[in-house]
Amino acid sequence: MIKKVFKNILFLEIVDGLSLTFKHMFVRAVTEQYPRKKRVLPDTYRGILSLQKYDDGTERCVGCALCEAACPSMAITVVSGEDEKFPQRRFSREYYIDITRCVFCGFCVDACPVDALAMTKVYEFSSYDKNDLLLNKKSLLSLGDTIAKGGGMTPVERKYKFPMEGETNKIESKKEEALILC
Amino acid sequence: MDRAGEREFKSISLVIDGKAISVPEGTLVIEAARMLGIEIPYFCYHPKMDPVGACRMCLVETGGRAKLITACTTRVEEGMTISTDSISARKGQKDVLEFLLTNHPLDCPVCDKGGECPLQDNTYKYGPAVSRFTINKWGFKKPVELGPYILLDRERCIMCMRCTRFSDEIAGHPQIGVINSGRGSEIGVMHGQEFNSIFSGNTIEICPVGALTSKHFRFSGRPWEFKNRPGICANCAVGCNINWTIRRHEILRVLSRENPDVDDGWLCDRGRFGYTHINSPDRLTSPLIKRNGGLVPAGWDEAISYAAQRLDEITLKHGNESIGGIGSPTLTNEEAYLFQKFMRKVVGSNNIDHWPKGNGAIIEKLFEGSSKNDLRRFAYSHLDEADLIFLVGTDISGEQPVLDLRLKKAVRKRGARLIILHHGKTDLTRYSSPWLKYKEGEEMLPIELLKRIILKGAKEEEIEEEIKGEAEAASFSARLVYEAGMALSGSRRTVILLGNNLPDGLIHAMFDLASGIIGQSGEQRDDQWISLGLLMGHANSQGVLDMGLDPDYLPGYVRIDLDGPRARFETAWRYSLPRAKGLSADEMLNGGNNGAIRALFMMGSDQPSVQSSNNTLDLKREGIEFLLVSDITLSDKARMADVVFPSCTHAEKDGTFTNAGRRVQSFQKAIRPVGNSLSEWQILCNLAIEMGEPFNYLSVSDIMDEISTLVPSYKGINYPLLGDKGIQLP
Repeated sequence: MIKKVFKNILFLEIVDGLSLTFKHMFVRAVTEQYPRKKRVLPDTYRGILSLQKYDDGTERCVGCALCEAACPSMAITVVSGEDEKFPQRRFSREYYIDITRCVFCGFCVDACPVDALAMTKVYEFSSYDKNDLLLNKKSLLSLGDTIAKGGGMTPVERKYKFPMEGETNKIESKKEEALILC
Repeated sequence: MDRAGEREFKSISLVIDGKAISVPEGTLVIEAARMLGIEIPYFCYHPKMDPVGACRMCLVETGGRAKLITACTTRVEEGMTISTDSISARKGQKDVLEFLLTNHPLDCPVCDKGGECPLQDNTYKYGPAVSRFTINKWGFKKPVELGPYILLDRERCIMCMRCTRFSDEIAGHPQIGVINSGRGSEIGVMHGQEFNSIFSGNTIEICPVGALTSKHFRFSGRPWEFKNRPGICANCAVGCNINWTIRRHEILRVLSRENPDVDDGWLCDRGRFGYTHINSPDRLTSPLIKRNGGLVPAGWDEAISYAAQRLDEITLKHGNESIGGIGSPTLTNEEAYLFQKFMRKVVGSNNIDHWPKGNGAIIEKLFEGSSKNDLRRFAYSHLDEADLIFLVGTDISGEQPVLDLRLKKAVRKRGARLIILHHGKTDLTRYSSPWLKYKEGEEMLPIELLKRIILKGAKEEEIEEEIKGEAEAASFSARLVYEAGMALSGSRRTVILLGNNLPDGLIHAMFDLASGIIGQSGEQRDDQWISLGLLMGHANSQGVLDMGLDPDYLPGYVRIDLDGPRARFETAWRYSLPRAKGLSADEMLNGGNNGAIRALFMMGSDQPSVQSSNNTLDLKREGIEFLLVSDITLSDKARMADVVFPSCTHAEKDGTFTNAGRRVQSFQKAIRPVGNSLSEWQILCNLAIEMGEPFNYLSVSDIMDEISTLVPSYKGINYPLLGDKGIQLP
């Protein structure tokens, strides 16, 4: 009882609390200064989706609609047809991803038999207009185009390894090895 | 025949997977297993075709034999013990699959069959997870064009030979076959030939892999996106049962839906690929009104009130009888009934008919007057029992193709005799013994000769005398006629089928002949019967006649000019019906019969069946002040019209059709109506409200309930009772 009164008079709790504050003056800051400084993301980060092309510029997508079947939130719509440029070949006439519905689970990327779908590290795609978030084939291909500039990657690597714009593409060597082994 | 009947009673007992069963002798092991609910995997087996044992997938182990046997070619034996899931049977099945997959490309993601593929399913269930075959797979140029509708991918083919067996055994058009031998064998057509049989589309459906694909459907979707909705084909009068394949309210494909009493599970190419008008960009989406010489879109309210106002004006000016109505034989029973009720009650005119018209009403009247039980009305199932089939002036292969398959089955599998009386060569004439060929327009001569042989007992020499005089008309010999006559009088179960466009006299003569044969030997044989039918031309030609879309008859063939029978309708409709004789369609179309018709209401589309036949609408607009048309596209008649109502195709509405074998079959709405189109019965209800005589129908089943109380042959028919197989009219 006397101890308690003594503590209260001396405001020892304040000293306790302030000591922690004082200690943190010598610890590295956790907060990121986000818009000015961007964090390096892990290679398996699942951001916005993109459609890929072969090195010669032809589309990879064959319009099999397996991504549509795999999608748990029914965000993907594929309309397949016969390619006019390459007769007798199946391709996606139309391809839509409603990214507002997407839960970024990556099932579609896993389902794709030709590695045409890939997840990027792009997470800055908020918009004032919801219509911008219904991605069509053109916007998905251009997402794939602008981001896949790095080159020199195998299709399997490319699936998850797009650097975020402005991000210093610092990859820890251990991580890369692990990914290639996969 | 009798011996075969006895044999069926002998039963064989065997044990499959520890379960005992007794089956008739001659049953295949795979069928016996199916009866027990035991699944044996297969590719080449098909219940309607002869066993071949090409794919080796159905290997099972049997006690007492060292080797595995194929369940689809082995017939059951007394005391057999079969195991379908023993270690060696399973290994056999697995190894067969591994062999089948050595050359099968694993392009399932782009294959149209992927998702509904027996090879895929069986591989998941029975096959090896990985292949030990590391050498490159077979490579072929693909695809090969087999015919106008079919593409072949030789890499995917597993040589089950279902397609070649179908076209040979069932369709009777052996146009595709196996080329080369052994591992190099492939399906193909003869050089320079193409697979253009009218039944070619069925091979796509029975192909257990994605080797045969449809040019129309190819690449258009994946099976898990589709909905299947039942429907009825409207391309001809057979009324085959179909399944619409639908994705997002668009018809992508037509598949068969087996109804043993109608189509036996097959479709013709006209039905299978004749769906393009449904989702065509030419479909009308809103009502059109003629303004300043051109048709301009308008709202429903506006169009309906304008049409009603014009009809009222013309009624006031020229009287009720100046308005005419012509329905299409593709209208449903309910719509046809409502249309004639609308014309007779709301408009008050008997100028109501359908076009194109056959002469089905004659045979209805003839049967009404006859009291012979042994003279049956034709139903498709009679073809399965008949000993003799007599075709008079009808090209079934061209007009009712799926019925032609049933006929070929009767002739080729059961050995029924076929006699054809036709002026031209048809697909069936090669099976006929004999084929009585006559000069077009002279068809009465052979009928008269047959009558003399059968009913008067004329001898061959007398017929020869007779023909001599008419040598030019007859291109058949006296012997052939005599042979046909003897066959007709000697047969126990006869089916006589008449064509749609025969002269009235011939139909009377054929009816007399048939009842003559029955009358001659009726007392001697109990099981003798003759089934007589007239094959109608269009989807619901029979139904619109039954529903009274005819100037002379009310529904159920009640004469309009007889006060007694008509009273029933007057009580039911609470209206005094017009008495004057109505004009026929031909009279109305021909410029309104010199001013007798001032306004014409043409209801229903000519697509799909009417347009594909040789009928061309010859409508003269002069004299008709107001032309009202309901159609699905801007057809020739719609272009001439003052008001056009957009109507629904049979995929977008509910209703019933009565087919050529007089079976009433219902179908439901499969997709939502295109644009603002409405079903014809809804249009009529709206128009009736606007004209001050509203009908009280909420749905087509309400109309069917009314029909069933008024039309004797449809008595007791309602939608729940119709189900998915339909009801055969008495």
